[in-house]
Amino acid sequence: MRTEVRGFLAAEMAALGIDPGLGIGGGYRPEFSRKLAARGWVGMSIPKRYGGHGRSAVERFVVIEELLAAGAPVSAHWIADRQTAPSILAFGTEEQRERFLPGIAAAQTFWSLGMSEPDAGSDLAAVRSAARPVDGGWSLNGTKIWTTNAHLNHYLVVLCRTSQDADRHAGLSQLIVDLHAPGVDVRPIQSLDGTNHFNVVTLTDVFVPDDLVLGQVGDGWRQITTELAHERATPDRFLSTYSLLRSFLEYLADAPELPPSARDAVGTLTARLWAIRQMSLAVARMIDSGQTPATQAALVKDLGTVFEQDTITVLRDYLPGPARSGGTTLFERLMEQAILASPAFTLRGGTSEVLRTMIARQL
Amino acid sequence: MTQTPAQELQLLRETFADLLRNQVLAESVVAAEAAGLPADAWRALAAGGFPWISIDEDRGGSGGTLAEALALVPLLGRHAVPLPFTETGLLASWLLAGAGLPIEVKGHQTISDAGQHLVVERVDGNRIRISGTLPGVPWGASAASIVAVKETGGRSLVLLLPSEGVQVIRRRSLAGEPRDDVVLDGLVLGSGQYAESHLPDAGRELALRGALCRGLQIAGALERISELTVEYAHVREQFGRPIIRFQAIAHHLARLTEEVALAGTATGVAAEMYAAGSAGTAETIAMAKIIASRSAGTAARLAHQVHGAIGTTREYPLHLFTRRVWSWMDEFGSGAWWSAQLGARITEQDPARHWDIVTLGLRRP
Repeated sequence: MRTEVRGFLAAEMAALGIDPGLGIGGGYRPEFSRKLAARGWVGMSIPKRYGGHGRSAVERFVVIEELLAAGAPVSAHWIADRQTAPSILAFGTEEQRERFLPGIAAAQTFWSLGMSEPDAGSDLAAVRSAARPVDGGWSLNGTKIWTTNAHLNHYLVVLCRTSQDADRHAGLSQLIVDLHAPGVDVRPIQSLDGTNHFNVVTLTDVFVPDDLVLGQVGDGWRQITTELAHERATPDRFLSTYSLLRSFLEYLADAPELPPSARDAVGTLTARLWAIRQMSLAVARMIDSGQTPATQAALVKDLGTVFEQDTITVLRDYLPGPARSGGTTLFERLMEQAILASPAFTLRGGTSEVLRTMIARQL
Repeated sequence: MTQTPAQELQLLRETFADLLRNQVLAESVVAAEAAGLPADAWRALAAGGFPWISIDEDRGGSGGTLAEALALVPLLGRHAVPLPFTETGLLASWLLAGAGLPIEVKGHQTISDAGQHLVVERVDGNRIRISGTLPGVPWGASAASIVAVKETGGRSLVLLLPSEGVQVIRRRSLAGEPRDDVVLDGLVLGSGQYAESHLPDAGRELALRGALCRGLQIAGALERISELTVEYAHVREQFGRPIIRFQAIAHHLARLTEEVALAGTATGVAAEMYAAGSAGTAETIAMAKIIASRSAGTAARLAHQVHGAIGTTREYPLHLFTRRVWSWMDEFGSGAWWSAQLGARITEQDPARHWDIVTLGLRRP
């Protein structure tokens, strides 16, 4: 399977004529995602009866690490594949599974996560978006922020309050919102590198029918914590800069004048990457055996994302001059992007500080 | 009732851990620094044949598998065992058995990974003359013999150096364990005291196996360092609460946990691959030692920071473990040395093959 994925990617990336990207920020290409889906490499862990492929977490691991290592443009289907599908599978109704999973597996529908709000970042339980019951469903109001690709995707899973419970973890629910429904307003946020993937999504009296409540009303907190355990240790948490490291090896082959420390650095970075990957793989094996290794996953994410940033810090010393646009080598071009993208690595999906607090709580 | 191999391994590990708990007390580890090797503890381990597991019985060893022998090595770190355990069995006896030379099953033997620096000349007949210095030989002064490897003329010679007729300068590791300089000034060896190894490139094999042993010892010691530190943070109160309640301390503990898990995973996977004889084992051991050495430094620093002043004393046991990992992290190749080796190997080959090294593992999915 690994060889097959590799061969496919080599051909497709060459045909697209694009540079490899940096992990899940590698480009939004629905056509490319559909080609992957046609090969059976999207929705791998979705059962066959819902249009998926019934593969294990470890099998999915192999495919996604090959995609990330190649810097393939995977961001259109990524969230749906990594997060939404397992969530619908675990908590959704039979009708929701039949309705949404085939579209995810075919890379026809793309999804965003509606978790963070202007006043609820690391403290996610502070969300204020609220839905009140109306005839046949819910009326949803609130503001979601940092919603990746909401301007391009089809659906948004919104974490909101469905009752004002004294226990702030109770009374939260997840609602599925059609991003084209009336009352949904999506405005772009420009990132510091000038790109636009983040958005602010304003929800004004958005009607969400009862059959689009994901899981149980009031069970939202438990659902998202399970979901996060699954996504935190996946290879996108340590491979964001693999294409950079790989391009450095090519750069080094053409630059024999670089000091020996450049080779030593490659040795150390490779060892760290190998060891983190082994830990991540161990988490995938635990998931396959039915466990929810939340703390293990947090360990991997913290180690992995710090490693990604360290890769940039270590390798930028070998640039031929100040990092700037229009580099002649792939290494220079990826380095320019990586420096600007790197702050997000240790923020998205839970900051390093939140993860460390979570890990320490188990000690 | 028959047991699975995993259950048998676990039973062996528990038996050995019990023995270490009874024989290697914290006081005796400290006492060994002044009194030398704790003879009673060595006799107890030797009587059970533990050091020679994985050495064939017809060679004088205890039999058993390499996986079994390696499973015990982290426990040596976990219990701060001040004995030449890996040196005698997994390293010296392994090389001797592989060259058809006799192994010593009563006393302890030791190993030097610096045999390549020796000058070997032929005297007459089967006799050879050896000169040079072997630095930092573990328990070099008290060992019955010292084993070293010299590559010469395309052959790997395993040398069985007697303890008589050599000059020993006693020195100590950071953990107070003997790491003696052994000076050979024209020492003559006859037949039966050296032989060609059946292993091609035995010097390289020794470097790898030694690095794996030290990496596993580090991983075991780090587990104990982590336990001591977490326990202390729960018990020690300042500003009216246990210090673990302070986020700065909690984050040190989280980082410590990460480093311990990383070193344990890396050395564990390397040991499994080595025992199975998997392809890519050499690169894997290099990576495991890089990680173990790095994690040792980081984890020891964090553990001491959380402990405060008490951790810097001889009366509190943390030093038994931190001084050992500070010593082991540089032995059989420091992290920096292995990084240079691995980096050179990676940059010699096609960049496209780099990913094959990143994904090395026993069960490669």
